[in-house]
Amino acid sequence: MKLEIWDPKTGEKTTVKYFKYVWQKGEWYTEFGLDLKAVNSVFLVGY
Amino acid sequence: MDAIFYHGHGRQGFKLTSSAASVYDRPVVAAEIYGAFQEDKFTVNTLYQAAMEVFVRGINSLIPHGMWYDTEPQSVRIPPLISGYSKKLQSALRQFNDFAARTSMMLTGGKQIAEIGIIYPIASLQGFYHFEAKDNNGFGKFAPKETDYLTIGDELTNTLHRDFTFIHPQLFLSKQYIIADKQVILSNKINSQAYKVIIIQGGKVISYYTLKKIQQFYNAGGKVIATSMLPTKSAEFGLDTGINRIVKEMFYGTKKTSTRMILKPNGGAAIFLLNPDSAILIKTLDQLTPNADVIIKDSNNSTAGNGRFSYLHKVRDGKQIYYFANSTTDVINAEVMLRGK
Repeated sequence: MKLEIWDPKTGEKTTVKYFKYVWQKGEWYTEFGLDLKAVNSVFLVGY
Repeated sequence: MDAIFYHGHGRQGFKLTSSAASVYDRPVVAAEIYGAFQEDKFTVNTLYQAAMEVFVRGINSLIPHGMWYDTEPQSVRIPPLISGYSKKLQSALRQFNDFAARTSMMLTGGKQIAEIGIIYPIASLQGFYHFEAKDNNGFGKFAPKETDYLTIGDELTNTLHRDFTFIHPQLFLSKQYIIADKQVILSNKINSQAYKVIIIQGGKVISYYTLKKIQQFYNAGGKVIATSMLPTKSAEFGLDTGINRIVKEMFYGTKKTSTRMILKPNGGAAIFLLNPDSAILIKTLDQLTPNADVIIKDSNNSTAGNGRFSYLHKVRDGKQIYYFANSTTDVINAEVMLRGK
């Protein structure tokens, strides 16, 4: 999955570079670290 | 809906409105917002905190209250003033408007991924309520003590990070809700949803026919959690015996002080949680449906500034759209796992 983070406040778009796939209880997951500033929100869009 | 009086007020109930929009397959869910918030405590942060909290709970269109044409103090009858004439907000409004418009655009329409259905306990609330009650102060807080649908919904959104949709017990009986593949399917044209777990919230009264359909789900391999109080009365006349029979069949052996799980060979499970706090809810959901759509490891779990950290997942135009909102005044550092690769 290609993941992009989009900040609706600033319009900034960045690609999530550091992630890994994890097999957990019969399912694949995409794992990554999310840092959010105080009083802030982001969209994560997966293709 | 109306997000009114102060930041955080009524937050537990916002998903009732967006859940209604889900069942009727409506793409736009609007909220009037900021009305009668305290002017002296209203800041730029308040603009964002309140907006994020309605967006992440399924609302996608904002109607700010307090955009008065005449900004003389005597004309602004219900502050705060949300406009370019407000000295404390004017410099921030352009960016806020961009934020609100972009967020609305991203969250409008599409299909929401929610894998838990909560039966709205309207029969219990109505069975208890009467206008002349001594303790009824008229502010909508007159409810039986076992009422827990709002607090559990809040726990799911803010602490457990497991999204859910409220289900009206009457609509649940319609052909729109289909039992298939050990799930309850909300069969909509666009916003179809599949619930792996049904939660019966604490309450004395439930529709016999609703409970019967929940039992059909359980018999077909579905997972059911009941919380705080098992029902004993039917919403319909003369069907209490049926309620008690089904409760006994599903939760047999469950003393009202235990949390024993009744399993069926086909995977069906029913469990009654007398004290459904966060810890027991996490443990139960991890046991029943370990593969959550989104898993968030947030050791901070902050509520600073009366904020919350929550998410919403939608699928639209072939894209997975996740909205993560931190309305706390703390930085959030979380490990996030999204199902799929």
